[in-house]
Amino acid sequence: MYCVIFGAGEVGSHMAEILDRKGYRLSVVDNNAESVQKLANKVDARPIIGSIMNRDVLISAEVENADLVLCVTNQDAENILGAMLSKKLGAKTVIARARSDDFIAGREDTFHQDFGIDDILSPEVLAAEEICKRIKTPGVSAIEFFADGKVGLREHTVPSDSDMIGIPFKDLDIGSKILITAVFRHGETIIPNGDTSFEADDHFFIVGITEDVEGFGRQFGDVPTPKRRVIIYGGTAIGAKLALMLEDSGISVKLIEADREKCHKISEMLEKTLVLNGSGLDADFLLQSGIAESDAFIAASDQDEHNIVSALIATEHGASETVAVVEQASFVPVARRLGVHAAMSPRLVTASRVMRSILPDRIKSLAILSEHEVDVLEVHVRADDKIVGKRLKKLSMPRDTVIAAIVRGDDVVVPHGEDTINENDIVIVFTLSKNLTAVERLF
Amino acid sequence: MNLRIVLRVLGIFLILLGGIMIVPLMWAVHYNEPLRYFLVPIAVTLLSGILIFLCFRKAHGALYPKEGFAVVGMGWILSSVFGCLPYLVSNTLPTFADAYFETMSGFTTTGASVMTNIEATAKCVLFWRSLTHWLGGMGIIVLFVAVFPFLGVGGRYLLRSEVPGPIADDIKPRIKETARMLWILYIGLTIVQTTLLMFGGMDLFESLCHTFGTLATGGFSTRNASIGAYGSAYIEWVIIVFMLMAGTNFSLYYSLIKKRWRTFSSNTELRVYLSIFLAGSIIATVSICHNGLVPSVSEGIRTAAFQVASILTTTGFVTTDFDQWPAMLKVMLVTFMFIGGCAGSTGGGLKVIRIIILYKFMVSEIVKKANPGAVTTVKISGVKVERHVIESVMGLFVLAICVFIVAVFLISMRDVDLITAVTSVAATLWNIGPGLSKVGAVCNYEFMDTFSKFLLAHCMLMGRLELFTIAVLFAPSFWRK
Repeated sequence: MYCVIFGAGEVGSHMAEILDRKGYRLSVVDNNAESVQKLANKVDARPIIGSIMNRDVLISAEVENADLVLCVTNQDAENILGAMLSKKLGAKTVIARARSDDFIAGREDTFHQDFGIDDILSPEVLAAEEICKRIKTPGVSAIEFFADGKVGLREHTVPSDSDMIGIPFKDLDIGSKILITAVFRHGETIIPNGDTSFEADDHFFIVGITEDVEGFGRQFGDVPTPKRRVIIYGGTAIGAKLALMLEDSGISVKLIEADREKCHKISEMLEKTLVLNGSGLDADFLLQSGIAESDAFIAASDQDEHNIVSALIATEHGASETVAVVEQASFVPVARRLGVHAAMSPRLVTASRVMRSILPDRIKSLAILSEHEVDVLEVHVRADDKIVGKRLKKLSMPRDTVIAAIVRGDDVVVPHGEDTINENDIVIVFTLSKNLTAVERLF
Repeated sequence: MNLRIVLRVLGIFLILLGGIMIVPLMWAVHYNEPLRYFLVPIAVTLLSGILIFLCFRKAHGALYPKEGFAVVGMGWILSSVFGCLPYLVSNTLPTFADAYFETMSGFTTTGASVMTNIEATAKCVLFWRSLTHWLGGMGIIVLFVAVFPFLGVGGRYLLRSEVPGPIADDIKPRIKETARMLWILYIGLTIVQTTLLMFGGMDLFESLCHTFGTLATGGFSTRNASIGAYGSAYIEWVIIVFMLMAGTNFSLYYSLIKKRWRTFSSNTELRVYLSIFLAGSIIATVSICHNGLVPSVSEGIRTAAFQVASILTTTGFVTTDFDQWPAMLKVMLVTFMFIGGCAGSTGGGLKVIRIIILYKFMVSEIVKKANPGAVTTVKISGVKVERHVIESVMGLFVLAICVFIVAVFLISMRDVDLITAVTSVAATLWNIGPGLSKVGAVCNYEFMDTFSKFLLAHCMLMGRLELFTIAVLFAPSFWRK
């Protein structure tokens, strides 16, 4: 598989790293020689210096042979035009990134396909959507639904006084309908087996039938309280977009922004949101704005460091849920370890969305979780797959891989060693990203 | 510095080197020569490689630029240490200094020899001598990257430190594909030239050896009188054309295959390189004809073109004793030694592109002095040359001058005349081979003492790896954890 990435900025670099790890052959194009070279020193990609709007660049990048073209420069117009050019030249899948949402009306919108672009993504809009989803489904730090909502995935944290600590999973009474699929401990990802046990402050993912997963959540002590009051720090694209989404669903929103000019602009854009002019790093000001009583505090300014500190101040003063937006993907685990309840990287969200668009038809990448080490895949099993009819315990599974659920018609099976996989099943697989090709070979 | 991972890679590298030595072994079988000439070196190299690899097989971690430099620098030294075994075992060159000099001269495509009677040497050893040229020309490390793709991104650092030139061309998305494509082009040219030489009356053995010497811009011949021994105009013209081709950026051949004519024809470096060749040939032709050094004008053109191409591409084949040429032409040839071939070619020297950059930079400095407040940009083919590229070219130039002066000084202490001292260093540092005076076209380096031989052998290594790769190995901070 061959991929050309136009734009070696934050999103481009990040996508290059992921695609390189997944075995793509890569070319990276950017006007800025330094950033291209820096990237080429990190990933096995051919560096090309130049603009997407250049005949020679398009030829030397061999766009016509590309399976995937990502246009992720910081110029919307260049991205959109470049994506259209690439498609015309013969690239199979083209994806453009747009900062403004002028071309995107929503997830189901297909207007862009009419002019040849397979997907237009806005990291800002995607991040806002992601945060909005968390606020509307309270009590957990991550939640996903697969197979038309039949299978649920939730992330929980093990409290330090939990009686589950130290018990091997095979002896843990969590019912047979849900499965613990991944544990995150000190920045490391563990795909557990029967002998793994919890330590305090572990994060973990559970997968199962949606009702059971929610039931587990209640039993675990995550009492969902509906979020009513949300404070956003940062009049950025993400902040404004999020405020718009939240106020639409009837949540009371306050938005803090240090720049007076920006405050005016945002207050023009928004209907009900209360715009406050002040600094998100000023604890007194935050207290006056009511962070202590707020249900969620989202730090979404354009400075990663400010967001982390601001979210920490909010946590300190009792905000029940704090989210920091960080551009740097490597800040995500750091922010969480410092005490921010959740950190969100628009780049990671975009990356996971791109990955979903490019897998073979039968395999869908559902999510890339926690600093993209874990992939969740949805595989549609065909009659001629070699996995069909075998007992699970007889399979030679790649390392650190779990079959989390089998969707068979309307039923969901949380599999055990004796179960078999049949034709037409939809299988949900958890695996570390580095094993992805091994998993594809399994079927 | 992660020395363990470096040693692990070097272990695998030695195994590859031992494997390659099987090729000359087959020639030994063919010519009924003693098999131990190569069986012993193969055994020693393979065993050392396996031993080092087993000791460090558990080493892990990535190859960063530091480790990359270490692998390339030490890899080249090791290949000369193990590559000289056939000379020692066959008693062709009984002392280590001589054998090491000859091997280093081979791998670095210099072509400076300490052998006095080449034609009396075992054929299999001669084949190995020419094969070292061929391997070193495109780069033993490039071959290594092409064969062992596990190096990943680290492979890029290796390639960068071995493929000459200030700006790297990646012709393929993956580094191992680039390495493979370079070798495929190289092998393709090898097949074409070998066939052409066989039409000229050489047998397979001699055609192969001379093709290796030409395409690697090396210069080892199987005859005492080099190409002059054949006295064939056809062979000389074939070699002139292929020497020029070997001195051209190999990625340009890839553009030709891809039918990107414009990339090829608009290449500034190629144009300047060919212009230098033409101008030099014309001057030399007029001068030698005028001085009556050749019987006819057509032979004058051929002789001039051959020596100019040979020196400019840093090959070092000779068809005449250019030490007898007028002083003006000798100065021109020594100047050409410093210029060398194009970036991304197998040629040595500073590379034409660097000369262009230095020249344009100099002009822009003069313009700035003449017009206070002038803002200038150094451009090649209309594209801006980045500041850091200019800086690294200047750095290389300064380092080259320093190394040159120090080496000339050290050689001149050993009772040789000034011209010999200057040209022996120039001819080894820029990987040409023959110099002037006592190291001239019909002489060799045999008379030098052990110290000078080691010094010049390492000049060759520094020149081939464009100085910095070796220079960093001497920086104390390089070895610190």
